[in-house]
Amino acid sequence: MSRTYKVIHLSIAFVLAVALLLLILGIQMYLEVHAIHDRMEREQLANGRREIAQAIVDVDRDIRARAERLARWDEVRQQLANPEYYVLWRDARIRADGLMTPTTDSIGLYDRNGHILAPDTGKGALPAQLPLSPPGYLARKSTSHDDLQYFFPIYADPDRRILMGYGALGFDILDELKRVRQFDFVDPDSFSLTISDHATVSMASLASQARFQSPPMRNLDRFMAAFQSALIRLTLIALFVLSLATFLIHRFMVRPLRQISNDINVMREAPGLAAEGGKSALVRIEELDNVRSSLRDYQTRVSELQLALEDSNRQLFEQAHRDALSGAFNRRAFDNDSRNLAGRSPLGRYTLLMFDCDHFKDINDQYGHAAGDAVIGALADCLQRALRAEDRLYRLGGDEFAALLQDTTREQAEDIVRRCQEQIERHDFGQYGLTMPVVLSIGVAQADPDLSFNEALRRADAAMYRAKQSSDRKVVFYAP
Amino acid sequence: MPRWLAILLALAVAQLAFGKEVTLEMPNRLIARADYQIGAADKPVVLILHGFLQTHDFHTAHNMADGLHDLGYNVLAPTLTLGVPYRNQSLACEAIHGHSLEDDEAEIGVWLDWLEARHQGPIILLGHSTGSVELLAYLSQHRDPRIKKLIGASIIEGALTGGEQVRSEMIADLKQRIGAKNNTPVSHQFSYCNRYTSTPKGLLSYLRWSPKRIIVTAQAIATPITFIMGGADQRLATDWIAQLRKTGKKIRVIEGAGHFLDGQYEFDLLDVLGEEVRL
Repeated sequence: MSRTYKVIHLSIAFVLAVALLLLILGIQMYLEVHAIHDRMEREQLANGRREIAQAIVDVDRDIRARAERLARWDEVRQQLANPEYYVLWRDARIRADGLMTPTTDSIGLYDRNGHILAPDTGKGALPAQLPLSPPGYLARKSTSHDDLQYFFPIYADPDRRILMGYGALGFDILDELKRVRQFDFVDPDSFSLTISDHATVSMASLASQARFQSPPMRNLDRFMAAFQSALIRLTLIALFVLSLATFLIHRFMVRPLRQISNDINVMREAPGLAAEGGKSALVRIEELDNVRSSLRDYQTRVSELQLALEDSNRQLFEQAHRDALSGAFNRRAFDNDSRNLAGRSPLGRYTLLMFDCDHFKDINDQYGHAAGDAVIGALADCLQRALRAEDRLYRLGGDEFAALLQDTTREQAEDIVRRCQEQIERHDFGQYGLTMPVVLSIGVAQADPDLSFNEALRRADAAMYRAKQSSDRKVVFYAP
Repeated sequence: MPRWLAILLALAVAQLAFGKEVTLEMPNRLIARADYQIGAADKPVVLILHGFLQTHDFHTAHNMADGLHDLGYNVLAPTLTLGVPYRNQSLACEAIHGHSLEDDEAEIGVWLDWLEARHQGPIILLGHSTGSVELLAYLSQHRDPRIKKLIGASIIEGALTGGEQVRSEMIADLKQRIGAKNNTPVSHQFSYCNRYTSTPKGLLSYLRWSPKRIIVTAQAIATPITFIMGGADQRLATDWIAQLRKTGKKIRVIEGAGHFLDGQYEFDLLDVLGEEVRL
C-alpha cells in the first residue's frame, strides 16, 4: 500500500530537491572551472619547463660557441704560451674584444696543469685550481645569484692534439637565460637552481634542477574572478527565484489545496455546512475554484438527497407505524415501543393507559362502517389533544387505544384521563349521524421501575376491562 | 698501370699542385704555420713574407703566392708566430706584443733552413710591406749564397705620425726602459696601429728600422734587390720612392696601385713579379 503524503511536505521536498540540484550544479561548475584552471597551471608549468630546457640548450650552445671562439683566439694561445703579461692582457683585451658580455662574470685561463694564470677576484671569481676535468660546468651559488662556470680545453693546433691549457667562462645563468630567450611561461625573476655550490653541473639535466614560477595568468585569473562573481550572482538569483517559487507554490497551490482539504473535512464532519474557503484570496486559481465550486455543488446535492431520503424514511416510518384511519401510532409501533421499553433497565416511572369504546360494534352495525371509522378518527383526535406532546397514542386494533405516559405521577395521570374524558364528552359525534353517546372505558396502570412492561400492560388491560364492565365507573386505576 | 695506382698518383699530384700547410717548430719553441706550394723542379723557390702583424693568408701575400705558383714556381709562405703557436689570425694592434724583429729574423732563418733542406735551387725572398723590411734585415745579417734576390713589395718602415724626431725620442725612451729592466709594455702609435702595445724591447726592434736605415742597408746588400711600389700608396711618405731610388736598386712602380697592390693592379703586380723572379 503506497504511503500518503501531505502536499506541504511534497512542496518542501520539491523546493529542497530543486535547491539541492542547483547547489550540485553550482558546485560541479565551480569544480570544473577550477579543474580547468589547475590543468592550465600544470600546462603552464610544463611549458615553462620546456622553455627553460630549450633556453638551457641555447645557453649551452652559446657558451660552448663563445668558449670555442676564445679557444681559437690567437691571443689566448699567445697568453698560454707566455703568460708574462696575462693580467694586463686579461683586463685590457678580453673586455676590448667583446668576449666579456654583460652576462659574463669572469673569463680566465689555466695552464696545462690546471693552475690559473692569475688569481681571479670579484663577482663569480674563478677557482685558483681547475675544479673539474674539462669540458664541464661548475655551479657557484651565492645569495644574490646562481653562477655557472664553464671550463674547456685549449689546444695549440687545429687538430686538437697539443693541449696548451684551459679556459673558463663564468656567467650568471639567469642573465644568460634571459638573454637567449624571451620567456612566455616562466617568471625569470623566480628562477633558481637546486644545486649546491661547487657542484658539477650537467646541462642536459639542469632543467630538472630548475625552480621557477609561472607568470600570473592574468586573463585566466580575471576569468576565474568573473566566473566566481557570476556564480555568486547566479546563486543569489536562484535563491531569490526559488524563494519566490516557494512562496508562489505555497500561496497558490499548497494553501488552496489545504483549504480544499479543510473544506472537505468540514463537509465530511458537518454535511449541512457549505464550505466557503478561498473566497477572500487576492488571486484565485480558476481550476481550484472550479474544484471548490464542484465540491460545494456536490455537497448541496448530497444534503438535498439526504434530506429527501430522511423524508422518505420518515414517510415510510409513518406509514409503517401510523394507523391510517386514526392517525395514531399502530400496533406495530406499540410493540416496538413496548420492546424498547421492556429492554430498558430500569424501566423508569411510567403510566400505561388502555382505552376501549363501549358498544363500538353496535355503532358499526347500526350506523355503518363509515360512521364507525369517523368515530374512531374522532376518538383519536380527542385523545391526542388531551395527551401531552411527549405522550404517544396507539390504536391497538378496532376501537382499542393505548397511551404511554413517561415519568407521570398518579395526579398527572388522573388529570390526563380527565382531559381525555372531557374531550370525548365535548366532541360532537352527532355529526357522524350518531344518536347514541360514545363512551370510553379507560384502564390505568402505573408502573414502578421494578415492574415489567408486560405486567404493566396486563394490569392496564385488566383495569380497562373492569371499567368496561362498570356502567358508571369508566376510569379504573389498577389496584391489585 | 693499375687504375687505383693512377688515382693515388693523381691525388698526390693534386695535393702537391694545390699546396699544403706545413708546420715547424720555431726557436721560441712555438709551432709556426706556412703554406707550401711545390712548383717545377727547375724553378727557384720563393719565400713570401707577409706584412706587419698579418699572416700568409692575407690577400696580398696569398695572391702573390698563388700567382707565382701558377707560373710554376715553388712557393713557401710562412706566418711568423709573433709569440702565438699555430697563429692563423692577424694579431691585433692592441694585443700585448712580446715579439721582436729579431724573433722574426730567427723564424725566417728556420724556414729558409727547412726550405734549403728540400730545394737545391736558388731562393728568392719576396716580402710585402714590413715583411720586406724584415727580409732586408735578415739579409743584412745572414749571407746566404743561395738567396739570389730580394723583392720588396711596398716596402715601408714602421711609420710614425710624428716623424723621425719622434722615432728618436721613442728609441731613447725605450732604451732607457730596457736599461732599467723595465719590461712593462708600452703603447704608442706605430705603423698603421694607432695604439700598439709592446714590450720596450720588441717595439724598439721594429722602431730601429727607420727609412734611413732601410736605404742604407739596401745599399749595403750585394744581393740583387727589386722594390715594387704602388704609385698611389697613401702610406708612403711623399719622397719615399725617390729615396729608394737612391739605393741604386731596381724600382718597379705600378702606377695607380695602393699599398696592397690589389684590385685591378693585382695582375700588374703578377706581371712584374713574373719578370722579377725570372733569374
